[in-house]
Amino acid sequence: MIQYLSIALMLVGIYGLLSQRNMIKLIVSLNIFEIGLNIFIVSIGFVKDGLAPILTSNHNSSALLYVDPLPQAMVLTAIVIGVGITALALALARKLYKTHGTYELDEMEGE
Amino acid sequence: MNPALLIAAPLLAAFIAVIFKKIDKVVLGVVAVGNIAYSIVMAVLFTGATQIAIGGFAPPFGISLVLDSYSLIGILLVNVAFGLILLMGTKLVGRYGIVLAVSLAALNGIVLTGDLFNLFVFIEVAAISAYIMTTMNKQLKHTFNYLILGTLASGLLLFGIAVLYNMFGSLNIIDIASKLAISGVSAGAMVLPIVFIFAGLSVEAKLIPFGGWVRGVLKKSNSLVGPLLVTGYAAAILLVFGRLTSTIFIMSDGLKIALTVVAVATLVLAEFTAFSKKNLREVLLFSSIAQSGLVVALFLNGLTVAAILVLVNNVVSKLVLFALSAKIADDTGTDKISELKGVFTKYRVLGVGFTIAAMSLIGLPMFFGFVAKAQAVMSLFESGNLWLPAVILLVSVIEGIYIIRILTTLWNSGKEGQVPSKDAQKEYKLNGFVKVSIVALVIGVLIVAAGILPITNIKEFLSSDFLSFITRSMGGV
Amino acid sequence: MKQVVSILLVLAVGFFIFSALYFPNQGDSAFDSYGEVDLDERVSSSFIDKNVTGENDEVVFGESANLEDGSANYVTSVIVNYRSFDTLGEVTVLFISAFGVGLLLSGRRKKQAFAHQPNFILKYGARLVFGIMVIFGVYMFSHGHLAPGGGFPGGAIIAAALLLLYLADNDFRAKMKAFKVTEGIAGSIYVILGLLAIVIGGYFLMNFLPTGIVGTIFSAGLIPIIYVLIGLKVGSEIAGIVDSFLTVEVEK
Repeated sequence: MIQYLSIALMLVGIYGLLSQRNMIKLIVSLNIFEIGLNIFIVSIGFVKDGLAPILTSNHNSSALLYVDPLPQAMVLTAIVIGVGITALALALARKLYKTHGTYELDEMEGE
Repeated sequence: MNPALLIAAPLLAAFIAVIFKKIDKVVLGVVAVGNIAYSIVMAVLFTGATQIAIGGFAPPFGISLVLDSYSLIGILLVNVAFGLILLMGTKLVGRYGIVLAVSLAALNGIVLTGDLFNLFVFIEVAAISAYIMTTMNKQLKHTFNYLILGTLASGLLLFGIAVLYNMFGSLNIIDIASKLAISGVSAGAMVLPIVFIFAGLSVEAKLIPFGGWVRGVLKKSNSLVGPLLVTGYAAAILLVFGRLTSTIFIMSDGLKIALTVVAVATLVLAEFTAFSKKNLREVLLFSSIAQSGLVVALFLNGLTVAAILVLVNNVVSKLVLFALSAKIADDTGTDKISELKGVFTKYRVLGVGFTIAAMSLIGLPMFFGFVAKAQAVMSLFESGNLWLPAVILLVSVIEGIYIIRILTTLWNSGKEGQVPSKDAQKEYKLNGFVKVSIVALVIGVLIVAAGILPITNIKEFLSSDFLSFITRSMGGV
Repeated sequence: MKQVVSILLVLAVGFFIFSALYFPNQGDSAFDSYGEVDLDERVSSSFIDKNVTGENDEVVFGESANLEDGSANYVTSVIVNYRSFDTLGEVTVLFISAFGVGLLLSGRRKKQAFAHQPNFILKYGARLVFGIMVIFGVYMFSHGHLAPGGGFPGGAIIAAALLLLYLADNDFRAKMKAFKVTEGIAGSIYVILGLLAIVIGGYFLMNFLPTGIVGTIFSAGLIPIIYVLIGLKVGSEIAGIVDSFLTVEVEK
């Protein structure tokens, strides 16, 4: 179920990217898309009845059933990359706002 | 010989340059030269294809770099192109030295890596450096569009990679290829990941419908960013295409035809658009989009050698053409072809370099481009494909017409077919063109040399080794 | 009109994804459905048993010693040990985008003034919380190999502490030069450790220190060291981004 929802979230993000022309809305859509994608990747590593992949004094053996740690590591990387890109996009948007006085891409003149 | 140094050195340079701001250009120069030297040494000492593990964990568990003749050609191409572009545009580096160093590391990573997720990370690093570099052209709105499109595309790429990981439980390209060969996953199941990976790569490879950003971002580009994006970046991404199509792209006939149609549509449409454009840089941009389409089409049909030859020809000639055009545009303030009549009559050396590169791009005999295009068409004929060679020849004619038109205008300051009178001569002033002309001439000589000398050895070296590596790693002989 | 086209396009993409993943044709099903995953078919089973380089039966918390990887947190062992190269790239992504933000919003800058003048309690309460947050961030990135967390969230918490000071005090502005130097030094040491590993062990980014007993604080070899470096680096990079966004260019 969660996997279907994550794909739906990705599609919502894609819809936003296709239909919006406001820079902030575009950045938000991009983030929705990325969140959907990240949930999808985490869900790929889920194992039924699996434990969180950390050895503790309670779950102290590697013989127990754990969920797949690799997709979680991938998602961590993807999140950090998303943060970097969002920061860069916001900086661009702010710079553009300063020269054009608007966040709407269609209302910008002269480029 | 550890190829990881090619990636680590520029990164280290970038980190150090943040602390000592003043030395960033020096460090960048040292790293660029060092990378060229190191990749040449690696090519000379190359003994056989290997996978070099990172962190001491053998593939498929750890990340590994693939060192074979294919990636060697890639790193030579990328590093030499980067060095030459840097040499021609040293003055433009400004505060962007760190970004350039990081992009060099990322391009080497893209070419070398043998791991899908690692590939995604390096593509992101390269893309972000590209977004930052294109802000140099002061087309921020287009840069913003490029950023949104590029990020969406890499998201799609990551989705494809995640699905592949779910199917095969591995991220190593060669491991996935061997699992594909053993388990016999049907071509139908591979449609989804292939389509998403293809879409994800096609933004940077500039294929239709994702290639639209190029014109906006680069039509006013200076002689540093533009050449880097149309040569270094294009080469790295297209080589990834080749790596993936020859290993994990197990396609049904329908899918193969569909993707080939996308690539060929890119080729045809871009050539026609280039034909109708009046500005030098726009013509070259659309021409390079077209060449990307051609290379991808060749890769999809399994013609690795021909695709690499076409790619090398495109990178080398575009490097000269775009750098010279951007240089002329920077100094004269325009790159409208009609306003640059007879510019080469004053700067003959530039003209000769430009002309040789242009001839090679069209694929006239005696130039390297001829060898590349001939190889492409011949091997397509051999594989029984008739419509693709016909299309290639047709667009080559179109390409020839507009390139020759540009050349006649730039060489002749008067009317067509007449000897120009002295008063028709327009005055042009270019500053510091010596470095540029030397680079252009050297590349020109190389193009002619490669066009005349027989290159069968290179072809054999390429095909035998790369293919045998794949078969060996799949558990074959 | 644009909305309609977008909806149709999105529906087509959605139909493609759902039909290919969940309703494949006969014989085309290679996609493991949600939860029905056999870890033995994946490379990660070796990450859990820590037997990539040699035989190893079972990892027991607090007992097993000198394994190829000494982290009790499997995600950490994937990120900083098995796939450390990705993490180097990831750090670079953040580095270059923070640098890009700095480039775009450059020039002589001053603090953006808020409409409200913060009162005494807010101003000094924030400083109190700042210390606690920084300590928590340091705890997080130094225990990344034992507990959830690690260098990236730890660094983000430290940057958030700085953001708190920026918001609570109109006059406060950190010295960005120090952050740049921290960032550069941390990144350089990371790469130099990787290069040192080539000299010592023959592999780039190899974990060349003894890994100790799983579950103790001084274990896992290079992992805590690298996570501390990443924490410092991420903290100073995000702090740089915060500073760029909360300042405005001085009018000439």
